Amino acid sequence: MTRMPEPLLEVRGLKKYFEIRKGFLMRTVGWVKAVDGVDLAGYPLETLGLVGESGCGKTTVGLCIARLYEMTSGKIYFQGADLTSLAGKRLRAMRRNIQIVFQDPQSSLDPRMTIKRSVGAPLAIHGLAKGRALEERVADLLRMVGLDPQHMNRYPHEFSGGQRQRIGIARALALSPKLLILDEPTSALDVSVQSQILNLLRDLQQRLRLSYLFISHDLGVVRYMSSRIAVMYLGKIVELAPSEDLFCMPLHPYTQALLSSIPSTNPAHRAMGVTLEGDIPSPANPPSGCRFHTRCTYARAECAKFEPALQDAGAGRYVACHFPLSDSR
Amino acid sequence: MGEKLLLQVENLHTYFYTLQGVIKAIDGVNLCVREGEILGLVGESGCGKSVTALSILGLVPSPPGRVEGGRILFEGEDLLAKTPAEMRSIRGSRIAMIFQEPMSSLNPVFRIGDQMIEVIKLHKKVSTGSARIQALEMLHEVRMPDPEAVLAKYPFQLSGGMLQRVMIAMALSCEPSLLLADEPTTALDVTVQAQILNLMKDLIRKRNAAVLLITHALGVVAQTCDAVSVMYAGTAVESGSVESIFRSPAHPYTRGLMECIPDPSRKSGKLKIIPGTVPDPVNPPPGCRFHPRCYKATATCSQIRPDPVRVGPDHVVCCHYPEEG
Ligand SMILES: Nc1ncnc2c1ncn2[C@@H]1O[C@H](COP(=O)(O)OP(=O)(O)OP(=O)(O)O)[C@@H](O)[C@H]1O
Ligand SMILES: Nc1ncnc2c1ncn2[C@@H]1O[C@H](COP(=O)(O)OP(=O)(O)O)[C@@H](O)[C@H]1O
Ligand code: SF4
Ligand code: SF4
Ligand SMILES: [Mg+2]
Ligand SMILES: [Mg+2]
Repeated sequence: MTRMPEPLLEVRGLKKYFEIRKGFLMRTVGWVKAVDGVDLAGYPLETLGLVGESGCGKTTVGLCIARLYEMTSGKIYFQGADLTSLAGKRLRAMRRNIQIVFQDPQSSLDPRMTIKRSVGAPLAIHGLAKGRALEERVADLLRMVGLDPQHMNRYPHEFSGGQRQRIGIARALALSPKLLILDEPTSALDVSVQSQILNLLRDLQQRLRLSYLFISHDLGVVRYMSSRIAVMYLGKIVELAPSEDLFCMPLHPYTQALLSSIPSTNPAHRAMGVTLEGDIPSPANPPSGCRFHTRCTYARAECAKFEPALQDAGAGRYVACHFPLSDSR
Repeated sequence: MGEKLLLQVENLHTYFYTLQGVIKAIDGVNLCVREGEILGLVGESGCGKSVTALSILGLVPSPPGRVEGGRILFEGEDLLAKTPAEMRSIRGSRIAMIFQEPMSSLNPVFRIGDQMIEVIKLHKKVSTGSARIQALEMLHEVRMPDPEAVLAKYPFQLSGGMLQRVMIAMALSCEPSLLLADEPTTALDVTVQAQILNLMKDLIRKRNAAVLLITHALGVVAQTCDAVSVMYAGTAVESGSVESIFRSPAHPYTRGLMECIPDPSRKSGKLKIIPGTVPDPVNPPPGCRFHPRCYKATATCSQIRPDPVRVGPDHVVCCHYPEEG
């Protein structure tokens, strides 16, 4: 295996539990284990994809890394510095390096603010620019994402969905971050607009030397964007591999099922083959042992008893399964 | 699949009269669904897919909407000439429907069983007891785990995939000859989408019913449909068999749509794009509505609306300069 450079981002043992409160006294009756022990590393200039079904914890991972959520436990290192132990000014300075772009550009922009104010807000808050300098920086940012700076005094509703997503990206770039967390950045857009935004993101990555954590449930899009992909199921990473390896030869039964459910645009290949039965179980009450055992076609008795750890499978691949798939299967 | 036409939509126009102006949501759409066929209706959001379905069902909200012209022939009868009462009895019996949000068609305060039984009784005029048995049989058929228990549940107690199974069971319980399904799997995960699409295909084939499947996902069409109509800005731009359209898309818009989806075989390099965005439905461009975004538009395109031309035995396109091969 080629030696990897030092990671830009390292996530160790990340857990995020949400309390479930019930009744008049709002007593805690349980915990939603949205993220339950996630380890990840993101390298400079790479795009790390994060995929999985709705509710598996992708957004929560993103929000914890951006430090927009307090985590239940775990560590996050950025350029080797432990973000969880930083405070005050040093934390703020470090946080500038990590920005997030959300799925719904509609709700992430304040409808009463002009584009100039929205995009300039991070700069104003950090006291990095004001007056003419601020305006010039906003104009630069808008140009960078392919918008006409002359429109900076307009309001979000005057823009199309794709344009609003460009505005969201401009705002995330305002503080010159090193890492962008892209949470379903094109899921609310039409395909013809999606390809414009994906091209823009690839362009920006080259020009600004950015690293991406690319969250999506669209596996085709993730494959196109990412160099490596992590697959999540019920709050855990079940497989991590270079993109093409993952698609050509999935090692985890869940990855295999997920891939075979993608509807191919080739009508000659009609095979939504190994489909999963049933729905994803509740993260408030995950199955024992391997969390996938209730839906896994390969499950054996021990799968319900012992939880498989994410293990090195060689060639930069990791899998959490007692009986990983292989060519011989 | 028969050759007989089940549904024919001819030159349909449906407009909405709003404060911003007249929205020409449907502006001359032609469609046909043959008996036992699954027709995909694809296009980007706002192109008029849902309004087409609502027009067929006689459910266009009015005001502000009105069907302004055209014909909708279903089993030889003109639906636009029917009274509201006649349409009510056709909906749910001869034409059934399912929508993206099952919650919007279920009543949150009644149990699943009661709602299913009511629908079956309404259209089949049977006793509560036999309606209940039929409801159970239908839930079995949609491969619902533990149907007895599901009958006693409220809608909010079921997942999106389970609710969509209930909707399919209800829709098919009255043996419709046509099912209108408006983005039935858009809100679901891919694994559940695959379950639901496979199920729909199976049940429909068994009954020899036809489906108008509305979706924005070309993959769903390729995997599920026999034929497809592509819509753009209130018009149907291309239609034909799935094989023919996916092999040789003749409309520049259809081709563009197919090419801007990330393709695993072309991983590096830029994605193809369609420049610009969909036009304002109040002021659509004259001539071919796609001309401001089309790479090969000419002066003719911006002045004259293209008529349908046949480019294959089962393939029609509305373009002055259809793509070849
Ligand atoms: N603020 C919150 N309070 C309580 N539970 C939450 C909260 N945020 C997320 N959850 C729960 O945590 C789990 C993971 O949610 P998350 O939003 O991270 O999923 P996701 O993978 O991003 O899903 P999607 O694909 O739908 O965006 C879900 O069960 C969700 O209901
Ligand atoms: N109730 C309504 N009032 C006004 N305009 C409407 C209404 N319903 C739909 N429209 C407009 O009609 C056009 C087509 O919409 P629709 O059929 O819902 O698109 P889609 O293809 O996404 O299903 C859009 O421009 C939409 O804004
Ligand atoms: S550990 Fe067992 S149940 Fe889990 S994925 Fe592997 S084979 Fe399936
Ligand atoms: S008619 Fe002209 S503008 Fe319209 S799709 Fe054909 S070539 Fe393009
Ligand atoms: Mg999310
Ligand atoms: Mg719609």
